[in-house]
Amino acid sequence: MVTILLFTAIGVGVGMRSARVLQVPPLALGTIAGIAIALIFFLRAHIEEMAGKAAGKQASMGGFETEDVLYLLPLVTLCNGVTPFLVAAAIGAPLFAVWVVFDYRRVLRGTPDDGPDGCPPGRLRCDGAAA
Amino acid sequence: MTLHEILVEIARIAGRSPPRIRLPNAALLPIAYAAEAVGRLTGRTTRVTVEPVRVARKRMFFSSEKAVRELGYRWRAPAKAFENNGRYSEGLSLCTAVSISAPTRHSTATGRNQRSLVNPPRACKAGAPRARFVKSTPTSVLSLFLDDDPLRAFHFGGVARTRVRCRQFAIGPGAFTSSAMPEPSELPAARAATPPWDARLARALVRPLRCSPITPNHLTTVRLASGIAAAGAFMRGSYAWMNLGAVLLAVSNFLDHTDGELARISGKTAGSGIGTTSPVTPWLPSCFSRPSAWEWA
Repeated sequence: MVTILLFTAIGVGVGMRSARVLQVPPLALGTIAGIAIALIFFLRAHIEEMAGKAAGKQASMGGFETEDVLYLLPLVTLCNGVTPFLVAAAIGAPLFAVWVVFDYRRVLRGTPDDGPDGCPPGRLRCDGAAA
Repeated sequence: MTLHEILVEIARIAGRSPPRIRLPNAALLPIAYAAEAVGRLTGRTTRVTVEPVRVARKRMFFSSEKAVRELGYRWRAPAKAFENNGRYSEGLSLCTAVSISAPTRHSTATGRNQRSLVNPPRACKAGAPRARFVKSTPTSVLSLFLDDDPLRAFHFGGVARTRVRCRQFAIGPGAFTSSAMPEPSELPAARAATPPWDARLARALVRPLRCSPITPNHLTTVRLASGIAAAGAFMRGSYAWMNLGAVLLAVSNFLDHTDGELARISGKTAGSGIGTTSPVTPWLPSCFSRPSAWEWA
């Protein structure tokens, strides 16, 4: 909810400067980005619950994770780049969410990496008790 | 025995359907390179890697004649070996641990070899998580003991004896094909256990709070408040407010790690499952924040 609120708020803020961005109200862009990011968090949490922490791990490199891009937001606002950021988030976040949905479905189905009886790796039993 | 026959046999043991499509090696190799690159980037296990694809092309012949003659080796049906190997892999996939030790330098005495690799939290009060110990000896046999089930021990030869009783262990058989114990940094487990930089910084910052009355829920509440404040600042729309909102958002994002780290090092946990249980925010619906964020952070 906080994530949706944050991006919707960015949409509202950008909307006060320009009524439309790429023919779309900024509020809608912010809401789309917020819902997509919230969905990503939600599904990742479920993947982690089902298949262990390693499965829910997000892309990382050199100790930086995907979500660390948010630390760059002060630089973006400092350079007056909130509008492009909002557009990028409204396009990129739903695409990434689609990828996470596929990942989630893969975990739901069970993969060849799974243990016996379709138990995901990292689980001792499939009755809900974590390893 | 061809690779196809092996795969059919393994599929039968695993209760899955055998592969039906045959792809040329030249077509698979670029896919393997791409999959490895994606795997490096995402830190996830890939379905295909370069080495097996290369090996799959080769015809290999072995004779156990010398082993039979000099060691009294008796061979068994490949199907039996596959079944055993399946059980071994199953054991690995079941085991989860945070870290693994390098072999100790001296002494075969169990007591002297026992040491903690993952520092157990100093209990400020009852209820702290159990200590995580890694015991290693120079006898070069690795054994993994699972939490709550010491009977499920797995021994495999050629490496250090290590007792692991923790969570999150990402390791495969390939890591232990060498006769020498790999350095901890070379192990997948060691890489997997390395937290991102902000989590490490968060841990360092919350360490002084370990024995204080401040709980992870308090930090979650501050995180929530800073997130809402950021949203409020963004809504104002002006340049200055946008900048303030961005800073608050970055702070909120960072605080997201602190509650989990404090929970981990202090053993403080939530009273009830999903959602924050802060005395400050008992009225918050569970969906208002990430579900028990710090419990799985």
